[in-house]
Amino acid sequence: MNLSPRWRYQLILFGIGLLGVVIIFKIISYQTSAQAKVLLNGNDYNLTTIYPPRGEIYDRYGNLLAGNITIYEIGVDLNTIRVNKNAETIALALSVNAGLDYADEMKKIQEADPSKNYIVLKDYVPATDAEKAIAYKKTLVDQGIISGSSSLSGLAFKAHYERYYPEGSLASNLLGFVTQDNNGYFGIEQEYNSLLAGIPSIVWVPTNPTRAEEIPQVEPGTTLILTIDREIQSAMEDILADTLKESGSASGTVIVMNPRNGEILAMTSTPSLDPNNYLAYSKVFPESTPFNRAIGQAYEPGSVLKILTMATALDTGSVKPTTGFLDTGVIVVGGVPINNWDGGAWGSQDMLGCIQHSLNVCFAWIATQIGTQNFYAYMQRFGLGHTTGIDLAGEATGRLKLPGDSDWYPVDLGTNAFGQGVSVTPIQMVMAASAIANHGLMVQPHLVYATVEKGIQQTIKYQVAGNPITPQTAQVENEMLATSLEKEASLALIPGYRVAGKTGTAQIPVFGGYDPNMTNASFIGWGPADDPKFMVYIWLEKPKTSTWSSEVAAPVFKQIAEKLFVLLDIPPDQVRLQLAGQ
Amino acid sequence: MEKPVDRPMIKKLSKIFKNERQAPWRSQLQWIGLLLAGLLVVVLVASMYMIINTRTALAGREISFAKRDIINIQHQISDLQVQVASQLSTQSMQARAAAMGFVPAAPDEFLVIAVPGYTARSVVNLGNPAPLPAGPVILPEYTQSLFDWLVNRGQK
Repeated sequence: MNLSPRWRYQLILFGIGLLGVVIIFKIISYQTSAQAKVLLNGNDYNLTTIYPPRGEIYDRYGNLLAGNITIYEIGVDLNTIRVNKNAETIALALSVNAGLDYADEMKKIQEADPSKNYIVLKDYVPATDAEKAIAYKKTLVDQGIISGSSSLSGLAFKAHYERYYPEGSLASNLLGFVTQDNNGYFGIEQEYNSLLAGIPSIVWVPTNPTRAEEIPQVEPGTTLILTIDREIQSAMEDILADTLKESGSASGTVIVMNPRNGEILAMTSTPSLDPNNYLAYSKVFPESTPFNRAIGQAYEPGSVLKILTMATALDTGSVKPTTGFLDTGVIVVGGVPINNWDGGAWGSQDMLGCIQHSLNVCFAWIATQIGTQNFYAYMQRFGLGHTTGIDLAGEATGRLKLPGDSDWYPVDLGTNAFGQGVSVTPIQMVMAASAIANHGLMVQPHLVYATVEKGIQQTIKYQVAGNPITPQTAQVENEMLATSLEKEASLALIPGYRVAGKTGTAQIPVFGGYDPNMTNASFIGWGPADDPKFMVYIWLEKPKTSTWSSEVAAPVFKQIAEKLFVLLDIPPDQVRLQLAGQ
Repeated sequence: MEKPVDRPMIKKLSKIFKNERQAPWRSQLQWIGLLLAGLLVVVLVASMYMIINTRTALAGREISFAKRDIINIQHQISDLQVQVASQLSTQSMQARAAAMGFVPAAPDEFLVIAVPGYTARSVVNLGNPAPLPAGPVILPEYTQSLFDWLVNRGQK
């Protein structure tokens, strides 16, 4: 067919015009399509919750006590699976690589709600398992198998964090644990849960890639640096475990605190749990077993409380170290006779002798000299009957009956003076005794040394909980407690070092009286006596090898103090004083 | 009254049409050229729009990938920290020391030596110290006179 040049030009013109029109039409259609409208309006967002990584917990020298590990949520995009018909392939791949059950996963996919686009097959899958499945999926993609029934298209892996404690059960009684819902239970994890967990952010994430910069950054939770020294903590746990084995005690508690500033250097009690395996909680802590006896269980401490009675008596001027007392073996307070621990009469004693021999009769007499009002006022000033405010969840109050209470009787003044009829937690005793070791200033025990947030380390200042006694009283009693241990030739003494301390053997109250066979053995001590760097509290519940604290708890103090002198770089007194004199 | 017909204009137009008829392709070429020029402009504008849009989308994607990488790296750091801590845990270190034949020293086996300049370990520092709280700031506008202000402006 021969076309005239005019027609040829017109045809070309028409063709080019048509092409132009098609291009313009396509541009307009793209720009006005539903997808483009969504993108242009920026309305296509996915609601996503971004959980910040939980703050880490370190000991005072930067050893990680609680961190986070990556685990995976494995899910499937149901729409993609319906298109590719690859449910069997996915279930098989997960069963082979990630250890999931083939039948279970198939059932979940087949019985999924048809209105849903995405379902979670399994969460909290360990990284080692999930990463095998991820690698297998990548292999298939590399081989070009990206769709169809033999592909893993639609299988999704979402990484997130889970709490992990690299030291296992070390310091678990004070750390607590975190469940899968990122909630802290017990100890530091519960007390500082809101700080550690950070603030989860529910955000609308735009699908429009040009708006990617709008996704907010979620700040991780606050990191905590504890006052704990990992080496001391580990040593205390080892010593306590050995002691429980040797003494046959039902349970044990050890606290090590710096009496100058209230920093807890170690705290342990039994039983303890590996927080990585917190599901065993109910098995390890049956019924109402306290998670941390050091703060959560009050008990009648017995003679260790005598140091507070003596401090009160000295501070009120009721007695002096040289004040004499004739011990006839019995004293009647409130119409009830009180005897010594051995039932014997110890004759003429001064106050040092009363402490050295731990004479109940003498201390009941001292309480009467102090007077009811003064005695209970001082006990309250020492913090008895109140929580210490330590930064741990689950602190118990203890019980200090006061005159006027329905269950208080005049005899309580006599028995309370030697630690009977009054219940305290070990941490309460440590706080109260810090006044004696710290020139009359009582410091609040605490576990968090500093917080780290947004790269800023904020050190937390220690708190003075009161000054129940004068520095002079503290010095006098400190000297009395050191001398009494020396005179007694206590098993707590350490060659080369002078320490101060007091034993406490307490009968255990049962319905209608006290258990005649079982005791609680306690010891409180500190060293070096002239410049205390540590204070130790030991409580052994129902020891079997001996019921006496001087025989079971005092040697443990010696063992602990020997370790502490090394770990805290404290030279023997002679060397230390020589160095100080240079 | 009718408007008089412009005879010279009619003659001029007749001449143009006569010319066109003599070489009609010239006019068609002009039209094609005009259309092509228009189309070229449209294509250029559309191309630029597409290029800019594509670059924006690519940059957005790169930001997304970078953020994903950041998150992945954070996960890796966290995992590695835990791995290192597990390797250096007291239990692990004690077991390693025991395997190498070390035993805990007895109290009488210690030798205390005074080392001049030795300082005890200090508590770890994992961040910068907190900045001191800033005191109240009074802007110079509230304290200077008009003359001071003019002098300052002049000096600046």
